[in-house]
Amino acid sequence: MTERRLSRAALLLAAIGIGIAGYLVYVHYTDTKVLCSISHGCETVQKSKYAKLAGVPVALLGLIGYVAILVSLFVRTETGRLASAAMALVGLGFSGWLTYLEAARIHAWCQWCVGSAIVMTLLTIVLVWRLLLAAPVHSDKAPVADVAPG
Amino acid sequence: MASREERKRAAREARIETERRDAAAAQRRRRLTQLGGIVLGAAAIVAILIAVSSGGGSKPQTSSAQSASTLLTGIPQKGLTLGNAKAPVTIVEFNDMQCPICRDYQSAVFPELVQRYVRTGKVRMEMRLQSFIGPDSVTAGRAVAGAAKQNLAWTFAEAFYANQGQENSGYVTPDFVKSIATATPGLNHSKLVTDASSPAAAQTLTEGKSAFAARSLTGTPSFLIGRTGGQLSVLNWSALKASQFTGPINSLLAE
Repeated sequence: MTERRLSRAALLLAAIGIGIAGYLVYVHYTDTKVLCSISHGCETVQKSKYAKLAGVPVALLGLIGYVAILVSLFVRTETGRLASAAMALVGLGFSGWLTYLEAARIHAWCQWCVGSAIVMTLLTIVLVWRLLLAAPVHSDKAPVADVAPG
Repeated sequence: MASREERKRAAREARIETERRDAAAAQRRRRLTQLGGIVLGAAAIVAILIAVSSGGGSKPQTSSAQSASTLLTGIPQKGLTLGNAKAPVTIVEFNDMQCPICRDYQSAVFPELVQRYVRTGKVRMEMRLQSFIGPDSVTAGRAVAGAAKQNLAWTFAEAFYANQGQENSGYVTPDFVKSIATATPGLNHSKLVTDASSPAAAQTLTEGKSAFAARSLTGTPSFLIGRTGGQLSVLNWSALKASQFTGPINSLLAE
C-alpha cells in the first residue's frame, strides 16, 4: 500500500464521514424525522442528553472534525500528516465513548452513529499507517516523495 | 586477493549501508515517538470530552413534579380516549411514555391540535401504550393505564411528559409515579397504584403492543387517522410540525 493510495482512501472515508455527520446535522436543525431502520433507535439517540456536548450538537462536532481531517489531507507536510492522525485519534476515542453510551446508557442504537464510528475507525487506521509509512523528511518545508491526496 | 581499491570500495559501501540502517532506525524511532505523542495528546482531549459529556444535561429528579397544565381542563376523557366521543375524526397515537420524541410531540404539536380540534369537538384522540424501550416503559405504561381507570390518562400523561427523565435510568420509581399523580389534579394516587398493578393494566399494554404490530409500525410516536367509526390510515409525518397533522385533519373534516 503506497502513501498515495492511503491518502486517497482517507479522502474517501472523510467524505463519507462528512456525508453521515452532515445528514445528522441537517436532521437536528430541521427537526426532521431521521431515516432509521432500527425501531426508534436513531431518534432516541439523537434526542438523548448525550446528543449535545456543552450545548453543541455532537453531530456538528463530528462534521467539523471530518471537514478538518479532509482539509488536513491537502497539507502536504509532516505536520499535516501528524495533524490528520491526531484528529482521527481524537475522533476514534470520542466515537468509542459514544458507542459505549449507546450500548450501556441510552440502550438504543443509531445506525448513522455506528456507521460514523466505523468510518472513523478505518480513517484512524489509514492515517496512522500513512504517518508511519511516510518517507523520511528532513524539513517540514521540503517533504520527500510526498503526494497529494487526490 | 582483493586490491586496495576494492577493499576501500567495500568498506565505503559497508559504511553507507550502516548509515542507511542507522538512519532508517532513527526514522522509525522518530515516527513511533511522534505517534506516541499524538496518542497521548488525543487521549487527554478525549478524556476532557468524556468528562464534559458525562457531566451535563441530566434532568434533576425532584420530589415535586411539574404540574399538568390547564390544556385539557374541561375536555372529556374516558379511559384512554380524549375528546367528544361523537367527534367526526379520530386520531390514534402509539406512544411510549419514555420516548423523548413522544414528549416533543406533546409539547410542539399536541397543544395546537387540542385547542383547534379536540376542544372544539372535531377530533377525538386515543392512546395505544407501548413499552418496548425498557422496564421503565412498562411501569409508566401501567401507571397511565391506572390513570385511565379514573378517566385522567391524558392529564397524567401530560404531567409525566413534563417531568420525563433519562430513558431506562430507573427513574420511574413508585415515588416518581406518586409525584406525577400528585401533579395531576383530581387523581387518586392510592387507586392509581391499585389499578396500575391489576391484570387489566397489563392487558392494556398487551393490546397496545398487538395494535402496533398489526399495523407493522416501526417507532413511536406513530399515528392513525380517519373518520370516526371508519377505516383509519397511518399518518406519515416527517417533522414535529402542527401543519403535518392539520392538513390530514382538515381533509377528513372536509369530506
